[in-house]
Amino acid sequence: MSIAPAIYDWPSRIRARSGFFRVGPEVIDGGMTISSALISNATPGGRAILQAEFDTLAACANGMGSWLASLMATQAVFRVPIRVTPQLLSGADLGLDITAADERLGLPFDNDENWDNDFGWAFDPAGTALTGAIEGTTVLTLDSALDPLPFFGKAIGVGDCAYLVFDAESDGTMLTLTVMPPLRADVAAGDLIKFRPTMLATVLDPSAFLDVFKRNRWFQPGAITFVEALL
Amino acid sequence: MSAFDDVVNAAVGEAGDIADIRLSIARLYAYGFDSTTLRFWRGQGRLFTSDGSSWLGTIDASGRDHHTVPSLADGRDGTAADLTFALPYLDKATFDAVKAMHEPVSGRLITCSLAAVQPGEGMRPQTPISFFGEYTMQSATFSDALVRSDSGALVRSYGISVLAKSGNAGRSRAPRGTYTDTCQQQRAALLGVTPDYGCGFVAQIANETLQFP
Repeated sequence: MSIAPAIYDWPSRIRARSGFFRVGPEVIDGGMTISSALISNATPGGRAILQAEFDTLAACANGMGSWLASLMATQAVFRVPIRVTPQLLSGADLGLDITAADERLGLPFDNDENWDNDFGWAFDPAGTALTGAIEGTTVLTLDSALDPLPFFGKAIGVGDCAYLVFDAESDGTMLTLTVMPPLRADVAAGDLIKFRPTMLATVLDPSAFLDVFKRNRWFQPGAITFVEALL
Repeated sequence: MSAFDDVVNAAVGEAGDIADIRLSIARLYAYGFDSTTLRFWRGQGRLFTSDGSSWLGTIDASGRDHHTVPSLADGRDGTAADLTFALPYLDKATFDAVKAMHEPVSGRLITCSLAAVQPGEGMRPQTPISFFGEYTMQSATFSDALVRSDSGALVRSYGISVLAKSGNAGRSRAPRGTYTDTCQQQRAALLGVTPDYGCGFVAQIANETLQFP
Protein backbone atom coordinates (compact mmCIF):
# COMPACT_ATOMS: atom_id res chain seq x y z
CA MET A 1 0.00 0.00 0.00
CA SER A 2 1.33 3.42 -0.84
CA ILE A 3 0.18 6.83 0.24
CA ALA A 4 -2.48 8.40 -1.98
CA PRO A 5 -2.64 12.10 -1.11
CA ALA A 6 -5.69 14.25 -1.79
CA ILE A 7 -5.35 16.36 -4.93
CA TYR A 8 -6.81 19.86 -4.85
CA ASP A 9 -7.76 21.69 -8.05
CA TRP A 10 -6.11 25.09 -8.12
CA PRO A 11 -9.03 27.56 -8.02
CA SER A 12 -9.64 29.39 -11.29
CA ARG A 13 -10.43 32.51 -9.26
CA ILE A 14 -6.77 32.83 -8.29
CA ARG A 15 -5.06 33.07 -11.64
CA ALA A 16 -1.36 33.60 -12.09
CA ARG A 17 -0.45 36.92 -13.68
CA SER A 18 2.68 35.42 -15.21
CA GLY A 19 4.56 32.20 -15.00
CA PHE A 20 7.63 30.40 -16.18
CA PHE A 21 7.80 26.67 -16.73
CA ARG A 22 11.08 24.79 -16.63
CA VAL A 23 12.58 21.43 -15.86
CA GLY A 24 15.07 21.19 -13.05
CA PRO A 25 17.22 18.12 -12.70
CA GLU A 26 19.40 17.76 -9.66
CA VAL A 27 23.05 18.44 -10.44
CA ILE A 28 26.17 17.05 -8.88
CA ASP A 29 29.64 18.49 -9.09
CA GLY A 30 31.42 17.12 -12.10
CA GLY A 31 34.90 18.47 -11.41
CA MET A 32 37.06 21.26 -12.76
CA THR A 33 38.33 21.73 -16.27
CA ILE A 34 41.94 22.67 -16.93
CA SER A 35 40.82 26.28 -17.22
CA SER A 36 39.10 26.09 -13.83
CA ALA A 37 35.50 25.98 -14.93
CA LEU A 38 33.37 23.93 -12.58
CA ILE A 39 31.29 21.46 -14.51
CA SER A 40 28.07 20.11 -13.07
CA ASN A 41 26.50 16.86 -14.13
CA ALA A 42 22.74 16.63 -14.28
CA THR A 43 21.26 13.49 -12.79
CA PRO A 44 18.70 11.67 -14.91
CA GLY A 45 15.13 12.83 -14.71
CA GLY A 46 14.39 15.91 -12.66
CA ARG A 47 11.12 17.61 -11.97
CA ALA A 48 8.89 20.07 -13.74
CA ILE A 49 8.88 23.47 -12.05
CA LEU A 50 6.46 26.37 -12.49
CA GLN A 51 7.24 29.79 -11.09
CA ALA A 52 4.11 31.91 -10.76
CA GLU A 53 3.26 35.49 -9.83
CA PHE A 54 -0.18 36.75 -8.90
CA ASP A 55 -2.19 39.92 -9.08
CA THR A 56 -3.91 41.43 -6.10
CA LEU A 57 -6.89 39.26 -5.31
CA ALA A 58 -10.42 40.53 -5.64
CA ALA A 59 -12.14 40.92 -2.29
CA CYS A 60 -14.31 37.90 -2.97
CA ALA A 61 -11.20 35.72 -3.40
CA ASN A 62 -9.56 36.63 -0.10
CA GLY A 63 -11.06 33.65 1.68
CA MET A 64 -9.85 31.34 -1.02
CA GLY A 65 -6.39 32.89 -0.76
CA SER A 66 -6.10 32.13 2.92
CA TRP A 67 -7.49 28.64 2.34
CA LEU A 68 -4.77 28.08 -0.26
CA ALA A 69 -2.06 29.47 2.02
CA SER A 70 -3.06 27.05 4.75
CA LEU A 71 -3.21 24.09 2.39
CA MET A 72 0.12 24.71 0.72
CA ALA A 73 1.84 24.91 4.10
CA THR A 74 0.88 21.28 4.62
CA GLN A 75 2.55 20.29 1.34
CA ALA A 76 -0.82 19.64 -0.24
CA VAL A 77 -0.82 18.48 -3.86
CA PHE A 78 -2.52 20.82 -6.33
CA ARG A 79 -3.63 20.26 -9.91
CA VAL A 80 -2.24 23.47 -11.39
CA PRO A 81 -3.21 24.71 -14.85
CA ILE A 82 -0.32 26.21 -16.83
CA ARG A 83 -2.02 29.05 -18.63
CA VAL A 84 -0.08 32.29 -18.40
CA THR A 85 3.40 31.76 -19.75
CA PRO A 86 5.02 32.51 -23.11
CA GLN A 87 5.94 28.85 -23.29
CA LEU A 88 2.49 27.82 -24.46
CA LEU A 89 1.90 27.12 -28.13
CA SER A 90 -0.24 29.87 -29.60
CA GLY A 91 -3.19 29.30 -31.89
CA ALA A 92 -1.04 30.51 -34.78
CA ASP A 93 1.67 27.95 -33.91
CA LEU A 94 -1.01 25.29 -34.13
CA GLY A 95 -2.37 26.61 -37.42
CA LEU A 96 -5.62 27.80 -35.84
CA ASP A 97 -7.50 30.94 -36.79
CA ILE A 98 -7.97 32.54 -33.38
CA THR A 99 -7.17 35.96 -31.98
CA ALA A 100 -4.76 36.47 -29.10
CA ALA A 101 -7.58 37.96 -27.02
CA ASP A 102 -9.75 34.90 -27.53
CA GLU A 103 -6.86 32.66 -26.54
CA ARG A 104 -6.50 34.56 -23.30
CA LEU A 105 -10.10 35.26 -22.39
CA GLY A 106 -11.77 32.31 -24.05
CA LEU A 107 -13.85 31.76 -27.15
CA PRO A 108 -17.21 33.59 -27.27
CA PHE A 109 -20.55 32.11 -28.21
CA ASP A 110 -21.76 32.31 -31.83
CA ASN A 111 -23.31 35.70 -31.10
CA ASP A 112 -19.93 37.02 -29.87
CA GLU A 113 -21.18 37.13 -26.28
CA ASN A 114 -19.21 35.80 -23.35
CA TRP A 115 -20.35 34.28 -20.09
CA ASP A 116 -21.55 36.66 -17.36
CA ASN A 117 -18.04 36.89 -15.92
CA ASP A 118 -16.78 38.23 -19.27
CA PHE A 119 -14.85 35.06 -20.02
CA GLY A 120 -15.60 32.81 -22.98
CA TRP A 121 -15.07 29.09 -23.44
CA ALA A 122 -11.53 28.23 -22.43
CA PHE A 123 -9.14 27.75 -25.34
CA ASP A 124 -7.88 24.23 -24.72
CA PRO A 125 -6.18 22.83 -27.84
CA ALA A 126 -4.84 19.29 -27.94
CA GLY A 127 -3.28 16.85 -30.37
CA THR A 128 -3.26 13.06 -30.56
CA ALA A 129 -0.41 10.69 -29.79
CA LEU A 130 0.36 8.63 -32.88
CA THR A 131 2.20 5.83 -31.10
CA GLY A 132 2.41 4.64 -27.53
CA ALA A 133 5.30 5.37 -25.19
CA ILE A 134 6.14 3.81 -21.85
CA GLU A 135 6.83 5.49 -18.54
CA GLY A 136 10.40 6.68 -18.20
CA THR A 137 11.05 7.28 -21.91
CA THR A 138 11.36 10.72 -23.47
CA VAL A 139 9.87 10.55 -26.96
CA LEU A 140 6.28 11.36 -27.91
CA THR A 141 4.91 11.24 -31.43
CA LEU A 142 2.16 13.60 -32.51
CA ASP A 143 -0.20 13.05 -35.40
CA SER A 144 0.43 16.38 -37.03
CA ALA A 145 1.97 18.00 -40.11
CA LEU A 146 2.76 21.21 -38.20
CA ASP A 147 6.07 23.03 -38.38
CA PRO A 148 8.28 21.63 -35.56
CA LEU A 149 10.11 24.91 -34.95
CA PRO A 150 7.55 26.56 -32.59
CA PHE A 151 7.52 23.45 -30.41
CA PHE A 152 11.03 23.95 -29.04
CA GLY A 153 10.96 24.93 -25.37
CA LYS A 154 7.18 24.79 -25.16
CA ALA A 155 5.09 23.14 -22.47
CA ILE A 156 2.86 20.23 -23.38
CA GLY A 157 1.04 17.74 -21.23
CA VAL A 158 -0.40 14.27 -21.05
CA GLY A 159 -2.92 13.57 -18.34
CA ASP A 160 -1.94 15.60 -15.30
CA CYS A 161 1.75 15.74 -16.18
CA ALA A 162 3.49 18.61 -17.93
CA TYR A 163 6.61 18.33 -20.03
CA LEU A 164 8.99 20.70 -21.75
CA VAL A 165 9.83 20.01 -25.39
CA PHE A 166 13.60 19.73 -25.80
CA ASP A 167 13.63 18.63 -29.41
CA ALA A 168 11.13 18.44 -32.23
CA GLU A 169 11.38 16.83 -35.65
CA SER A 170 8.88 16.35 -38.43
CA ASP A 171 8.66 13.94 -41.35
CA GLY A 172 5.71 15.77 -42.87
CA THR A 173 2.95 13.70 -41.25
CA MET A 174 4.29 13.07 -37.77
CA LEU A 175 5.96 15.25 -35.17
CA THR A 176 8.51 13.54 -32.93
CA LEU A 177 8.91 15.41 -29.66
CA THR A 178 11.66 14.74 -27.13
CA VAL A 179 10.46 15.86 -23.72
CA MET A 180 11.80 16.38 -20.23
CA PRO A 181 11.21 15.25 -17.57
CA PRO A 182 10.78 11.67 -18.81
CA LEU A 183 7.20 10.47 -19.14
CA ARG A 184 5.61 9.87 -15.74
CA ALA A 185 3.06 7.39 -17.05
CA ASP A 186 2.49 5.20 -20.07
CA VAL A 187 1.02 6.97 -23.10
CA ALA A 188 -1.19 5.00 -25.49
CA ALA A 189 -1.70 5.70 -29.17
CA GLY A 190 -4.66 8.06 -29.44
CA ASP A 191 -4.12 9.71 -26.05
CA LEU A 192 -4.55 13.46 -25.95
CA ILE A 193 -1.43 15.59 -25.92
CA LYS A 194 -2.53 18.85 -24.35
CA PHE A 195 -1.15 22.21 -25.37
CA ARG A 196 -2.63 23.83 -22.26
CA PRO A 197 -1.19 21.38 -19.73
CA THR A 198 -1.85 20.90 -16.05
CA MET A 199 0.61 19.58 -13.51
CA LEU A 200 0.37 18.00 -10.09
CA ALA A 201 2.56 20.04 -7.80
CA THR A 202 3.40 21.06 -4.28
CA VAL A 203 4.51 24.55 -3.37
CA LEU A 204 8.20 24.79 -2.61
CA ASP A 205 8.02 28.06 -0.68
CA PRO A 206 4.56 28.35 0.88
CA SER A 207 5.57 31.18 3.17
CA ALA A 208 6.31 33.35 0.10
CA PHE A 209 2.62 33.25 -0.78
CA LEU A 210 1.88 35.30 2.33
CA ASP A 211 4.86 37.56 1.84
CA VAL A 212 3.02 40.66 0.75
CA PHE A 213 -0.16 40.93 2.76
CA LYS A 214 -1.53 44.34 2.06
CA ARG A 215 -3.70 46.32 4.40
CA ASN A 216 -7.44 46.36 4.57
CA ARG A 217 -9.21 43.89 2.39
CA TRP A 218 -6.61 43.46 -0.31
CA PHE A 219 -4.57 40.35 -0.44
CA GLN A 220 -1.55 40.31 -2.71
CA PRO A 221 -0.05 36.80 -2.89
CA GLY A 222 3.70 36.61 -3.32
CA ALA A 223 5.47 34.75 -6.11
CA ILE A 224 5.70 31.01 -5.48
CA THR A 225 7.35 28.01 -7.07
CA PHE A 226 5.36 24.91 -7.88
CA VAL A 227 7.40 21.73 -7.99
CA GLU A 228 6.05 18.63 -9.66
CA ALA A 229 4.65 16.09 -7.21
CA LEU A 230 5.61 12.54 -8.15
CA LEU A 231 2.76 10.33 -6.99
CA MET B 1 34.63 -6.25 -19.55
CA SER B 2 30.98 -5.85 -18.74
CA ALA B 3 28.56 -3.93 -20.90
CA PHE B 4 28.54 -1.27 -18.17
CA ASP B 5 32.31 -0.80 -18.43
CA ASP B 6 32.08 -0.64 -22.20
CA VAL B 7 29.50 2.14 -21.99
CA VAL B 8 31.56 4.10 -19.48
CA ASN B 9 34.72 3.66 -21.54
CA ALA B 10 32.91 4.68 -24.70
CA ALA B 11 31.65 7.82 -22.96
CA VAL B 12 34.95 8.74 -21.35
CA GLY B 13 37.54 7.27 -23.69
CA GLU B 14 37.67 9.78 -26.50
CA ALA B 15 36.54 12.79 -24.49
CA GLY B 16 39.10 15.56 -24.51
CA ASP B 17 37.30 17.60 -21.89
CA ILE B 18 35.15 16.64 -18.95
CA ALA B 19 32.28 18.67 -20.39
CA ASP B 20 32.19 16.29 -23.38
CA ILE B 21 31.16 13.35 -21.24
CA ARG B 22 27.43 12.87 -21.58
CA LEU B 23 26.77 10.03 -19.21
CA SER B 24 25.14 9.92 -15.80
CA ILE B 25 25.81 7.21 -13.29
CA ALA B 26 22.93 6.51 -10.94
CA ARG B 27 23.47 4.84 -7.59
CA LEU B 28 21.10 2.02 -6.76
CA TYR B 29 20.45 0.36 -3.42
CA ALA B 30 18.40 -2.81 -2.96
CA TYR B 31 17.40 -3.91 0.53
CA GLY B 32 16.65 -7.61 0.44
CA PHE B 33 14.19 -7.85 3.29
CA ASP B 34 12.52 -11.14 4.02
CA SER B 35 9.22 -10.61 2.27
CA THR B 36 10.12 -7.87 -0.15
CA THR B 37 13.04 -6.07 -1.73
CA LEU B 38 12.98 -2.30 -1.33
CA ARG B 39 14.78 -0.60 -4.19
CA PHE B 40 15.96 3.00 -4.03
CA TRP B 41 18.05 5.19 -6.27
CA ARG B 42 19.64 8.52 -5.56
CA GLY B 43 17.48 10.77 -7.69
CA GLN B 44 13.95 11.88 -8.40
CA GLY B 45 11.14 9.76 -9.78
CA ARG B 46 11.04 6.10 -10.70
CA LEU B 47 14.03 4.62 -12.53
CA PHE B 48 13.57 1.44 -14.56
CA THR B 49 16.55 -0.81 -15.20
CA SER B 50 16.91 -3.38 -17.95
CA ASP B 51 16.39 -6.30 -15.55
CA GLY B 52 12.78 -5.18 -15.12
CA SER B 53 13.22 -3.63 -11.67
CA SER B 54 11.89 -0.22 -10.75
CA TRP B 55 13.73 1.96 -8.27
CA LEU B 56 12.17 4.63 -6.12
CA GLY B 57 13.86 8.04 -6.16
CA THR B 58 14.64 9.27 -2.65
CA ILE B 59 15.19 12.98 -3.35
CA ASP B 60 12.15 15.10 -2.60
CA ALA B 61 10.90 18.28 -4.26
CA SER B 62 13.15 20.49 -2.15
CA GLY B 63 16.26 18.52 -3.10
CA ARG B 64 16.63 16.69 0.19
CA ASP B 65 17.71 13.06 0.06
CA HIS B 66 15.64 10.97 2.46
CA HIS B 67 17.93 7.99 2.11
CA THR B 68 21.06 8.30 4.20
CA VAL B 69 23.92 6.23 2.91
CA PRO B 70 27.29 6.08 4.65
CA SER B 71 30.53 6.25 2.71
CA LEU B 72 30.86 2.77 1.36
CA ALA B 73 34.23 1.45 2.47
CA ASP B 74 36.38 -0.80 0.34
CA GLY B 75 36.97 -3.96 2.37
CA ARG B 76 40.43 -4.65 0.94
CA ASP B 77 42.09 -2.97 3.89
CA GLY B 78 40.66 -5.76 6.02
CA THR B 79 38.27 -3.61 8.02
CA ALA B 80 34.58 -4.21 8.40
CA ALA B 81 33.20 -0.80 9.19
CA ASP B 82 29.78 -0.30 10.70
CA LEU B 83 27.58 1.17 8.01
CA THR B 84 24.30 2.73 9.03
CA PHE B 85 21.71 3.23 6.31
CA ALA B 86 18.61 5.31 7.04
CA LEU B 87 15.66 4.44 4.88
CA PRO B 88 13.04 6.93 3.71
CA TYR B 89 9.53 6.66 5.06
CA LEU B 90 7.26 5.08 2.48
CA ASP B 91 3.99 4.65 4.29
CA LYS B 92 2.68 3.30 7.56
CA ALA B 93 1.97 -0.17 6.17
CA THR B 94 5.51 -0.65 4.83
CA PHE B 95 6.98 0.76 8.02
CA ASP B 96 4.94 -1.66 10.11
CA ALA B 97 5.74 -4.58 7.83
CA VAL B 98 9.48 -3.96 7.96
CA LYS B 99 9.27 -3.43 11.72
CA ALA B 100 7.32 -6.66 12.19
CA MET B 101 10.01 -8.63 10.38
CA HIS B 102 12.79 -7.18 12.48
CA GLU B 103 14.29 -10.60 13.06
CA PRO B 104 14.81 -11.62 9.42
CA VAL B 105 16.73 -8.39 8.79
CA SER B 106 19.81 -10.00 10.31
CA GLY B 107 21.83 -11.70 7.60
CA ARG B 108 19.91 -10.15 4.71
CA LEU B 109 21.82 -8.29 2.04
CA ILE B 110 22.01 -4.70 0.88
CA THR B 111 23.16 -4.72 -2.72
CA CYS B 112 24.61 -1.53 -4.17
CA SER B 113 24.79 -1.14 -7.93
CA LEU B 114 25.46 1.49 -10.56
CA ALA B 115 23.38 2.27 -13.62
CA ALA B 116 24.74 4.10 -16.65
CA VAL B 117 22.10 6.44 -18.05
CA GLN B 118 22.92 7.70 -21.53
CA PRO B 119 21.44 10.84 -23.06
CA GLY B 120 17.97 10.18 -24.44
CA GLU B 121 17.35 7.15 -22.29
CA GLY B 122 15.24 9.10 -19.82
CA MET B 123 14.57 6.93 -16.80
CA ARG B 124 15.08 3.64 -18.62
CA PRO B 125 18.80 2.91 -18.93
CA GLN B 126 19.32 0.01 -21.34
CA THR B 127 22.79 -0.98 -20.11
CA PRO B 128 22.69 -3.77 -17.50
CA ILE B 129 23.44 -2.42 -14.04
CA SER B 130 26.85 -3.02 -12.54
CA PHE B 131 27.44 -4.60 -9.14
CA PHE B 132 29.24 -2.25 -6.78
CA GLY B 133 29.09 -3.73 -3.31
CA GLU B 134 27.21 -5.99 -0.98
CA TYR B 135 26.66 -5.54 2.71
CA THR B 136 25.08 -7.78 5.31
CA MET B 137 22.41 -6.30 7.53
CA GLN B 138 22.98 -6.88 11.22
CA SER B 139 19.99 -5.21 12.80
CA ALA B 140 17.41 -2.53 12.28
CA THR B 141 16.18 0.20 14.58
CA PHE B 142 12.87 1.95 14.29
CA SER B 143 11.81 5.33 15.52
CA ASP B 144 8.33 6.73 15.69
CA ALA B 145 8.02 10.13 17.29
CA LEU B 146 6.06 13.34 17.33
CA VAL B 147 8.30 16.28 16.54
CA ARG B 148 7.58 19.95 16.20
CA SER B 149 8.48 21.27 12.77
CA ASP B 150 9.88 24.72 11.98
CA SER B 151 6.42 25.96 11.12
CA GLY B 152 5.19 24.99 14.56
CA ALA B 153 3.11 22.04 13.45
CA LEU B 154 3.36 18.70 15.18
CA VAL B 155 4.55 16.11 12.73
CA ARG B 156 4.73 12.39 13.25
CA SER B 157 8.12 11.26 12.10
CA TYR B 158 9.08 7.70 11.26
CA GLY B 159 12.56 6.38 10.70
CA ILE B 160 14.25 3.11 9.89
CA SER B 161 17.98 2.64 10.35
CA VAL B 162 19.79 -0.45 9.28
CA LEU B 163 23.22 -1.41 10.59
CA ALA B 164 25.26 -3.34 8.05
CA LYS B 165 28.71 -4.87 7.73
CA SER B 166 30.83 -5.85 4.77
CA GLY B 167 31.94 -9.40 4.10
CA ASN B 168 34.98 -8.87 6.33
CA ALA B 169 32.85 -9.03 9.46
CA GLY B 170 33.90 -11.89 11.71
CA ARG B 171 36.94 -12.82 9.65
CA SER B 172 39.27 -12.47 12.63
CA ARG B 173 37.57 -15.37 14.33
CA ALA B 174 39.55 -18.56 13.74
CA PRO B 175 37.54 -21.63 12.79
CA ARG B 176 36.77 -23.64 15.89
CA GLY B 177 38.40 -20.87 17.87
CA THR B 178 36.70 -21.91 21.08
CA TYR B 179 38.69 -21.02 24.15
CA THR B 180 38.96 -24.42 25.81
CA ASP B 181 41.78 -26.75 26.95
CA THR B 182 41.13 -29.18 24.09
CA CYS B 183 41.21 -26.47 21.45
CA GLN B 184 44.32 -24.87 22.90
CA GLN B 185 46.14 -28.24 22.91
CA GLN B 186 45.16 -28.73 19.27
CA ARG B 187 46.24 -25.25 18.19
CA ALA B 188 49.55 -25.58 20.05
CA ALA B 189 50.17 -28.97 18.41
CA LEU B 190 49.94 -27.31 15.02
CA LEU B 191 52.82 -25.11 16.07
CA GLY B 192 54.80 -28.02 17.47
CA VAL B 193 54.17 -27.32 21.15
CA THR B 194 52.98 -30.42 22.91
CA PRO B 195 51.52 -30.41 25.46
CA ASP B 196 50.28 -26.91 26.18
CA TYR B 197 48.56 -26.56 29.54
CA GLY B 198 47.83 -22.86 29.06
CA CYS B 199 44.11 -23.42 29.16
CA GLY B 200 44.14 -26.31 31.59
CA PHE B 201 42.07 -24.42 34.15
CA VAL B 202 39.56 -22.98 31.68
CA ALA B 203 36.20 -24.48 32.40
CA GLN B 204 35.26 -27.28 30.07
CA ILE B 205 32.29 -26.71 27.81
CA ALA B 206 29.52 -28.83 29.29
CA ASN B 207 28.40 -31.84 27.28
CA GLU B 208 30.51 -30.88 24.30
CA THR B 209 32.55 -33.33 22.26
CA LEU B 210 35.13 -31.73 20.05
CA GLN B 211 36.56 -33.91 17.35
CA PHE B 212 39.31 -32.81 15.03
CA PRO B 213 39.92 -34.42 11.68
